[in-house]
Amino acid sequence: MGNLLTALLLAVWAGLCALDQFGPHLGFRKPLLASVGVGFILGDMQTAIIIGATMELMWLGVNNIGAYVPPDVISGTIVGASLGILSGRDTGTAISTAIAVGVPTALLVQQINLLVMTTNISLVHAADRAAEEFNLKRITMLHWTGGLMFFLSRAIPVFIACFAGSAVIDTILAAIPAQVLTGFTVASKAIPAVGLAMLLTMMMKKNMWIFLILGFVLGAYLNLGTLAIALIGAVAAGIYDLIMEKTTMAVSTTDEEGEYDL
Amino acid sequence: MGKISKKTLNKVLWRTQTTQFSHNYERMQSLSLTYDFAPVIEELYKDRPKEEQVHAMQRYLEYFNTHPVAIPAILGICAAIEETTDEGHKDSVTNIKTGLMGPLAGLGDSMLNLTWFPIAGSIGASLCVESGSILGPIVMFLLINLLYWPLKYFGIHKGYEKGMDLIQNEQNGGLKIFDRLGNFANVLGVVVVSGLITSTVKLSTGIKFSAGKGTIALQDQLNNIMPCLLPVLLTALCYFLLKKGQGKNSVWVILGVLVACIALSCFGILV
Repeated sequence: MGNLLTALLLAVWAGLCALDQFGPHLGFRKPLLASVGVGFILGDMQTAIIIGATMELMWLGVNNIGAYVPPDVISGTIVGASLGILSGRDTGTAISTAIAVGVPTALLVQQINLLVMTTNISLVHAADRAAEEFNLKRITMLHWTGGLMFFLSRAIPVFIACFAGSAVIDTILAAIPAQVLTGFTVASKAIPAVGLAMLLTMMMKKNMWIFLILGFVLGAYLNLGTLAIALIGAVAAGIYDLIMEKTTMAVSTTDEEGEYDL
Repeated sequence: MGKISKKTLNKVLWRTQTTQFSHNYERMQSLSLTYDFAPVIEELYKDRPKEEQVHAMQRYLEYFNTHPVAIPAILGICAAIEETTDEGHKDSVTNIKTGLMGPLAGLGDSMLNLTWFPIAGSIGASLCVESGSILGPIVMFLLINLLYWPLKYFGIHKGYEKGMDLIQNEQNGGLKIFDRLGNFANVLGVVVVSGLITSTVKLSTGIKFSAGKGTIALQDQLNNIMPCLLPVLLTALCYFLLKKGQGKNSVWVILGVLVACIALSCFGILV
């Protein structure tokens, strides 16, 4: 009975975090803040936050932009952290368990998200009909139906995984060799490469290699913190903007001179 | 000017906090936008003929997609134009709405999603990844929201007050300011992400060679060549794979890294 209630609460939390992703962007769609709810529900804030922070770093570059359909880090974090804590082992094992369970969950729920994005198309067609009658109440109803779909798309998988998972997690952990479990921890520190590479594919335009080297030197050789790097980055961006502005102005004046010559 | 009450605009602001609930692949944020803007439509069009009411709603049901944080500002400007144009000139609403969504989406993505969220996340996580301290999540929450809420609040109110001036200035200067801001954000983003590669991607090898009496750890040799050599190589590999698959293969790249790391760590090649 206790298991059922816990799984239900976790499912509701996952749904709410999903609504943050599709709504106000308060930050609960990111692993670190999503993990706080897990810590609260399961009564182990410290482990939950350590797992959340590990996953935050792991999924740092994962963000929903452009053509990229990102893994669902919300359900990944909540299912991972819950089962990691429920396994009742030491913190190290809890982290590797969380990663072992969380990564597949995130990839699976990503597919469910694609499905909802497609089924929600019917809502906008219904809205077309509502517009012809100037029915604003119906628009409200349709809009919130979409929200309900996104809520359920995270809540249902999380409920199933947490309810069924808590019963079998011991068996699963017993079956996985300790070496493989350590491997998950090694992998979790390499996976940020994928997310950050994803960000770079969107940002690497003309001349950007210069700033890639700048960031690398600041981080790898000077060991500066993120905020210091960001501030130096802002200075570099400001100088770049001034130079580009000057060049475009120079180009446009020469154009005008060219016209006078004619 | 100023026919639409502050109360109505605040109602729109709250509604924009649900934008994307009805996100979908056909017209993206269109239904959400109609829902968000409904209080203004209701107020401006309550005494208008049915035909105009229907057209007003249909204007917002057209394809629309931008950064969620930019929506209050865009709707503030739309409210100003809706109020000052007559039925024959409503095209300008659509033009400005669609004209703004692209540049603001780009700006929002590069400034907020690509730069600010990773910064907030890495600072927050670094405070608690060892200790599990609640300070980490709190700092992350504040970093995000102390920036986002002013953008949203002043976006809609300033957008409404200054909406028309802004657009008229734009016609003289063009949307160039967005290009400049976009470039600025892009450079900043590249520097930050590049720095994050060195601090968050951790990969080292456990291979050791026996040389004479002692052993030489390969990792020490690599460190002598360049710090963070393996993380940089891995990120470069992921970059080229993602570029090749146009980002649609991200699941496979993640799974590939996961499986390869587990396999290599079992043999002690990675530690």
